[in-house]
Amino acid sequence: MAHKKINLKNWIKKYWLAFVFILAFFLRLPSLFEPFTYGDEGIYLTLGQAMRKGAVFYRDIHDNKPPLLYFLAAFAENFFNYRLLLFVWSLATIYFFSKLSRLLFGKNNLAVFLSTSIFTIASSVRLFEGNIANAENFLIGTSLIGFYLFLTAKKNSQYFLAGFLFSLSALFKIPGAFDFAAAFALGLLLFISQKEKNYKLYARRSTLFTLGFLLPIALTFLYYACQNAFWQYLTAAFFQNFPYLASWLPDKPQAVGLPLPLLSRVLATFLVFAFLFFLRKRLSVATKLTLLWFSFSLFAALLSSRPYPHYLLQIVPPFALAFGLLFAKNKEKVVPALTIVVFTFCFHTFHFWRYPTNTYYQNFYTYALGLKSKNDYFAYFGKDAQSLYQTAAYIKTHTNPEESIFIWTNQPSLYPLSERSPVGRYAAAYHIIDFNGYEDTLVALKASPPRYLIWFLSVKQPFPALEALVENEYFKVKTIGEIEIYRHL
Amino acid sequence: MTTFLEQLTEEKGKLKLMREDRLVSLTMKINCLLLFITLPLLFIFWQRLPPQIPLFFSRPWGESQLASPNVLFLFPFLSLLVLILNFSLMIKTIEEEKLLAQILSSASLTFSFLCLVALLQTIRLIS
Repeated sequence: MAHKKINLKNWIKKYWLAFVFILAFFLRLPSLFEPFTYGDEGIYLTLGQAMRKGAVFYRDIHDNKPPLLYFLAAFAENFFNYRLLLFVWSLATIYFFSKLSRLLFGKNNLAVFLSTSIFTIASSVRLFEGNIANAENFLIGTSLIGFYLFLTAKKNSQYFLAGFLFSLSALFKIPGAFDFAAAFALGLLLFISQKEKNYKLYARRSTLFTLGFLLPIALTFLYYACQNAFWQYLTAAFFQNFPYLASWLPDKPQAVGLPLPLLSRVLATFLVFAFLFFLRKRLSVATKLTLLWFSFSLFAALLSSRPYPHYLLQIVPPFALAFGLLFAKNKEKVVPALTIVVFTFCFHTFHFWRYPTNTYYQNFYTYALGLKSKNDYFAYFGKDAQSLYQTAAYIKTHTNPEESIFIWTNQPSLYPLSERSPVGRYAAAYHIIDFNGYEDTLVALKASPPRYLIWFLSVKQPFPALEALVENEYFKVKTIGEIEIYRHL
Repeated sequence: MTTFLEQLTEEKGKLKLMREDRLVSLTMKINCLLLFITLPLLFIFWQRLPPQIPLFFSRPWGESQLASPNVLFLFPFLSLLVLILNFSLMIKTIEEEKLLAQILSSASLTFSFLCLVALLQTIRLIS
């Protein structure tokens, strides 16, 4: 019996990662089958699709993120491939997380197993929108490899490569740059902790690490400058993010020209660094990395004070790593409890949305097992899901593949679903509203009026000039749910 | 003439070589995992599958493209077949041609991955 037990233990020790992958597979499987109605993904694919037709981001079509995510969307071409790409990317991310965890916790299998399992579950479930191919889902992968390389680097080129990987994180989404900052702070802390300091070596490696980070970003500027889109790129992907961040709004209490909540979070991050600095000789590398990464990524996730749960995905790697410290033999054991308290506090204080997780999986697996009809399965994702697919089918059969359409919507998934590009630079109504694109849109609509214009009744914000244009130049041909399809006279 | 025991020891040595090669070992592990996942996937969706499914898209449009759902088992079966074939070739070549063994293991992984994607796409199309 004892012999059998030992065998089972060995077996688990040997194949635990396979179990984790199988778990990830079945947690992520529903994302390949659900209706593709998520607005953000719709925008990325609309931009990707436009790029395939020759458009230049920011100049011909607008969104306010750096370009890497749109390149991936262009490569994927459609929703299924895009989600499949995320699927494979996530499995690779789990693998690199297990490597990083192994590096930090060494032979403590339980610590590696627990942290990797928590990472797998937290990064895959719908609670934090792990099922959606958003930037955070991709950037945690590049940041993880960046940290792994940074900690294992021996050659100068490896420091450069680590910086390069963090740069990719920032090119997925600007808050990814805070992972670079965390790694830089960790490097400084580890250097200060050394008994014999080689300043020259540290300076050379830090410079290479920073160069690796800055070079790809500089190359994107060069590329867009060559495409005559330098200012549009700078404004859209960088400057427009500042007023977009709710925390920078003027109605918040301010000090030295900056909002107090933001300053207090800067102070909290600095305090964590100071705490680690004073206790640097007593703490392990695992604790230093976990706490630094956790505080920097928390700062990044809360930067906009917006309640979208996928922002929290950036915190998941250090949060999961903290659980490995449960098996530490000193006071570092309290780190996981501390991270749970901070995480829960932030989740409640910032009113992050809660997407139901159990019903999501229940809905999918009852459908897959044939216990639910497709209509009932789609109905779970809101009343728009069916109408979107029906409208996309209508557009596809009534327009040519090269034809552009215009949709007054906050649901831009219709563009990639119907495989058509938008007239003008904006793919969503909230872009036109937020970035004051009314004039641009009207000019584009008058210059090349689309044969079909789709009006979503769910968009409540007024656009009187567009309403007048529709009234004078279009007639309604079909209504599908809350979607009205108009044809040019 | 080599005895059975000598042959077995020799094969064991080659297996050890395969385990020691990081790429071969990793791709083989992922390949087995993909195969392991494909079967439960089919069983989960089995009830949703219609009596006839579109599969042979190279044939003229219409009934000739249809097949019985049992044909879907071809995907894991073919993956397994390619894996076994490549594995036996790898055993023979790993000592002298390490690169070839790596190519063979990567090829069978690619094949299994594409089979899984094809299966997922087919199920998505019909369910």
